[in-house]
Amino acid sequence: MTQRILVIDDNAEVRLTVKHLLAAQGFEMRTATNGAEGILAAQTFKPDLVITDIIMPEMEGMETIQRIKAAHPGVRIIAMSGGGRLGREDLLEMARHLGADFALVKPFNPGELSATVARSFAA
Amino acid sequence: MNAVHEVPAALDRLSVLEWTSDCVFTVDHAWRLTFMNRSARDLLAGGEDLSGQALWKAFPSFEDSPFGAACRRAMVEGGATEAEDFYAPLGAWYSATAHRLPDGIAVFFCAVRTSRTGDDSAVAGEMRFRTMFETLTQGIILRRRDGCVVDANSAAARISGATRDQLIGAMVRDGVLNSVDEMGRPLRLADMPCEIALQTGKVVRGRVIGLTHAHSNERRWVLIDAVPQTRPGESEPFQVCSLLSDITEQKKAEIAVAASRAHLALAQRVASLGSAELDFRTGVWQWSDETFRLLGLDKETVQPSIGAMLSVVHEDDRPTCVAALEHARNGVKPLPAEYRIVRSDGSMRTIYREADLVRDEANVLIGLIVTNRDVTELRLAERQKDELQAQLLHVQRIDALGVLAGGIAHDLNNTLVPILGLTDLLRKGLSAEKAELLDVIQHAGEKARDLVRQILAFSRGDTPDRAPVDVGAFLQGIRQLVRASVPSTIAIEWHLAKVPVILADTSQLHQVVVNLVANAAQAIGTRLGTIEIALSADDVVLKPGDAPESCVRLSVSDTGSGMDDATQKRIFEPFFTTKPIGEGTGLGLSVVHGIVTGHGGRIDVDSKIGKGTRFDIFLPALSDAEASALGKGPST
Repeated sequence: MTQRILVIDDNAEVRLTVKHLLAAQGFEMRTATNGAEGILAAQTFKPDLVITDIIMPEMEGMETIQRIKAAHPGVRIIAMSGGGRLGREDLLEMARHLGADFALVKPFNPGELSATVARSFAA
Repeated sequence: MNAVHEVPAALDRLSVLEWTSDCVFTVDHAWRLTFMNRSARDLLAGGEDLSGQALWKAFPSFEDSPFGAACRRAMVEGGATEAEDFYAPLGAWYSATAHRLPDGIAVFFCAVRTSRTGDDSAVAGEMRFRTMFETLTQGIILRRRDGCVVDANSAAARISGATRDQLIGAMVRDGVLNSVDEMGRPLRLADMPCEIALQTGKVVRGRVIGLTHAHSNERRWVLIDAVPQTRPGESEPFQVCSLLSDITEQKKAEIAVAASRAHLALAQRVASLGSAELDFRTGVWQWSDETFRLLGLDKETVQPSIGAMLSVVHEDDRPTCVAALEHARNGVKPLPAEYRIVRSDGSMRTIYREADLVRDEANVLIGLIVTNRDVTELRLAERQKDELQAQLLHVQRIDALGVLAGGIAHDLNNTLVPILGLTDLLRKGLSAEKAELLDVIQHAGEKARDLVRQILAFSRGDTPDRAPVDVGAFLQGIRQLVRASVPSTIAIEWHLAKVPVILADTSQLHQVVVNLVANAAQAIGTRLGTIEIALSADDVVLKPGDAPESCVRLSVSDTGSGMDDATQKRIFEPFFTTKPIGEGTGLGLSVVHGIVTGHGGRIDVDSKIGKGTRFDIFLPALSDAEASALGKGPST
């Protein structure tokens, strides 16, 4: 059965890149442009993995993670961040705290993305 | 000198007395003249015989004189009494001896100094002296060796408040002149100027003593000269002449001036404000005590002058001081200015000078008045405040840059995601030529990613992942990599001593070395040159005020172009670069600085234009105990 991945990011380039890279690997992809949209999409799409940015305008990524995790307890979550004033360590710490399983620091190359996705399914 | 006045019994007394050169007269109990000899008639009565007249009426000047006193004593007490005094009607000194007789007294009266010589000029001299003596405003007191006052003029009486009668015949020790010294302490006999002159035989001059005025009970201040008088052929003075000047008013004025001067000096001291005045007419300077103190000059040994002042003024400030004085001489009021004083101990003071011109009633320029204020502490405080402000501005600027950089980096990271992510996806089915173009895109993306990482490292001060590191082994490990990053026209020399372990993030350490070496290589450019990388152990003060601590010193030096002071001051600022636009990010050294200070270390730069630059990085060493407590061996 094809695994489903939901990508939530307000940045179109990130959304489309992740979608195309993972679609090319055979995953079924869906994207959302913000947290609220992502939560709605999760209800119908029922993803196995959610890859979400944690700094987004509409609904903060943290809240998105918490609500998806609450509605879909089995779902795996990868938190993405472009950093800003948050360091890699801080991001991982925060992602763990929110219930995300892995963190991905932007920008990433295809190898890093695939490896993180693979690890989250293996976990 | 007194004549012998024995009366020979065998001779008729009247006939002998009639012809003696002394004046002789007798008086009865009722003070009537009963006899006058020839000399008495000639000298005292103009040739008349005044027998039968009352003594005091015949010779009025006798009544209040010492002669009169001697006569009265003889009449009352008997025996022979003597008196010596200036007899004004004859203008000469006379001595009188009075003897009691059964029916009254006999008085022998003879000229003391002129009786034998009969010299008219001497008499005239004596008169002149006497007139002067009496008209002098200076008091004169003549005192015999035994302490008895034998004469005093009316000025002496006026000054002391005692009458001449009280003074004459008084003994010094009787305390008629209750005297104190200049400090107000009772004056002992041995310390009195007249006594000193008598004892030493030398003139005592300018002694100030205080007397209690007999009438008003006021303290009078008197300036005394005491002149001992010695007879020819004698070694010891027989009497002393004291000359008294009343200086009470001067003394009061002096005390008032001294008090106001002390007040002014204190005020100047409190304000650290010295004053100085130059009189253009005389060229004489006057400096206040505080001016001496401010200049660090001794008022006892230094004469105020422009030369004395310039000798302590800082070399660089002398021309402005001289110019100010020249302006003043030309009638131009000097503007306020500051100059520095170098004291003999080498310490430097900053003086704020204000000056104004002094003109007389006719508006003629006659002088210059200057105030000097020590503003060293004030200026220091201002400078510290300025420095703090500059530091604060610097921190604020860096912080603002950090926020800006963080924001840009965040957006750039999103933008880089497709570039780095999708190029690989496009590779399939492309010709080698086109794949090469994709490589270019990918490399550009990677460079952009590294740049953004550096910006972020600076903007947030990355929390490093630290572990004990053997820096020597670490440098050996990256040796090849460093060599490969530098053109072959540049030699790299390694001097790696054995050093203690430090706590560090190796990836950051790597970045430090790479950035410093890249910087060094850029400074050398396309010329031939050398980069030296040295490692040593050193004890260094890491934070101002701390004790030196054991450190690892990592030095990267180059033989490149070097930097001027202004550049050296700014090299650690983010985005500061000396490279042309597009060739440098200006982040490399700020990242190095951030990493080193993040490790609790220090970075120094030493550079000379045309000689090259050396960066010294000091990172605190771990003690053996600390290293083992961290539970890890050194990692590379």
